[in-house]
Amino acid sequence: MNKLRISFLFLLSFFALTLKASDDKPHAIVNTDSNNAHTSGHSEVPHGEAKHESAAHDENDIFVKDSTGNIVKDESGGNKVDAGKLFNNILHHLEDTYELHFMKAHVGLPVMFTDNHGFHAYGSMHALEESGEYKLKNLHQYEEQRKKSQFFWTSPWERVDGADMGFTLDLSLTANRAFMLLTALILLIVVGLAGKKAKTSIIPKGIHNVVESFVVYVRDEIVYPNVDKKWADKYMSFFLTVFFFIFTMNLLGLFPLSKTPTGAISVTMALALCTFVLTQIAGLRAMGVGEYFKHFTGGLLEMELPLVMKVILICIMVPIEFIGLFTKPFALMVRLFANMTAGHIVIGSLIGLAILFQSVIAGFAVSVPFALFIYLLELLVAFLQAYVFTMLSAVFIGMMAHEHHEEHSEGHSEPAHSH
Amino acid sequence: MESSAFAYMAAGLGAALAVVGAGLGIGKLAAAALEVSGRQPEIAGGIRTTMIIAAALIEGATLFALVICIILAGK
Repeated sequence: MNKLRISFLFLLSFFALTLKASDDKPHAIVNTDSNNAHTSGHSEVPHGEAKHESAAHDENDIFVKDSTGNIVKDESGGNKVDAGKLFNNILHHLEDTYELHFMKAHVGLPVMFTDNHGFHAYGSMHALEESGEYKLKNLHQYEEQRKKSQFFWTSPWERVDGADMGFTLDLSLTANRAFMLLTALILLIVVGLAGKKAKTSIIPKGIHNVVESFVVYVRDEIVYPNVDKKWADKYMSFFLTVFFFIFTMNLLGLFPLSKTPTGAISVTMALALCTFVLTQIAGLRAMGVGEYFKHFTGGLLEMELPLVMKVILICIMVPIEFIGLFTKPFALMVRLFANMTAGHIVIGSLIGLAILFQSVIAGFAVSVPFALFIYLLELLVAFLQAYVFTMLSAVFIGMMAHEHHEEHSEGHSEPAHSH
Repeated sequence: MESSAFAYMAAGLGAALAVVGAGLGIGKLAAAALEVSGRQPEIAGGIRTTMIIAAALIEGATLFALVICIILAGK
């Protein structure tokens, strides 16, 4: 069973890509940042205001407050919860962070980046703050900057001496990246063990059985029906890697207190980019350079058409085919991201209902059963999205690497209407 | 009303419309696929694969709409 061999070269390339692409929206550490705002609050802004700004992401800041900052009480005497703030808090939990959260404990992760002043590495955000070279931006200022550049990453730190940082490349081990590394580690161990067992015995047992059934499923149900036999085995390692990587990340995200790397658009972008690059490589290898560029015309060159008509149609077809190259991986990227994020938001919102109503009965009657239901649905979605991503990658790659004998098979379909 | 209020409203309405369209589309698709699988169970596997690809394409179009809604809601 050499099919069990998963190419970890691909895993490494994922990392290389995500390290650069990941992290479009990190947020500054709440604790240090609030201290920062407190100390600077005396000189620049009135204290109350600074406190309010720093508390924008405070976990306790979900209550309705009046103009003086006091929490408004509802009829029964409890604190009134602001649904909008609660929802923002849920969204905030899905963002990438520079630390791992385990209940109340916050474990700082290494911060590494390069800018005009060279490469810098700190043990945690706290160490960066104490280094004297960099400091975290004022939270209010940071939020403003982030609002302005929605699609680009905003650095949460700045130089103490106020110098321009230039182009900053963030290579920090953020929470999402840490969980990706964990996924790779789990896969290395699990698949490695299964491969080792497969060498010694033919009869699958235990972990070997689990991995082999998935591998055979991917091979027989996803790759072989969509990719030519000639190329299928060559690209099998890519499909298997993508499938296992996404599947494990999705499942890992369902553990309490964990992060979902596939719920970050930058991670799915890197994955989709891998598919995109491999699709082009597969096309070039199967068709050759000339045929590759010819396929942008959508087969119009071979058709018997008046020359004027041909030119007009080609003028329309080429841009469409060219855009089509990018919309396919774009849809892959957004699909995986949206599915993983949406599931987590729904679970968060359902649990949030109990907090919103501030009642134990609502918690047990609504939150727990519905959240459990969505959670089980998420288990299905975790597999389904890994399946769909691999399947569509196989379809795209198979389409590019078909080498002309697709046209013959189309005529074989039976007449579908049998009313 | 603030201009951002309109953006929120448009985002909500847009998301709802996109989901209605996608729901109808995938519903019709699944109905047809099930009908064919019922008539000819021997080709159910192939039908399922094609159905998932088509559903994914419908979903892709929906996601484009939803991305616009997300951008609107972020305004």
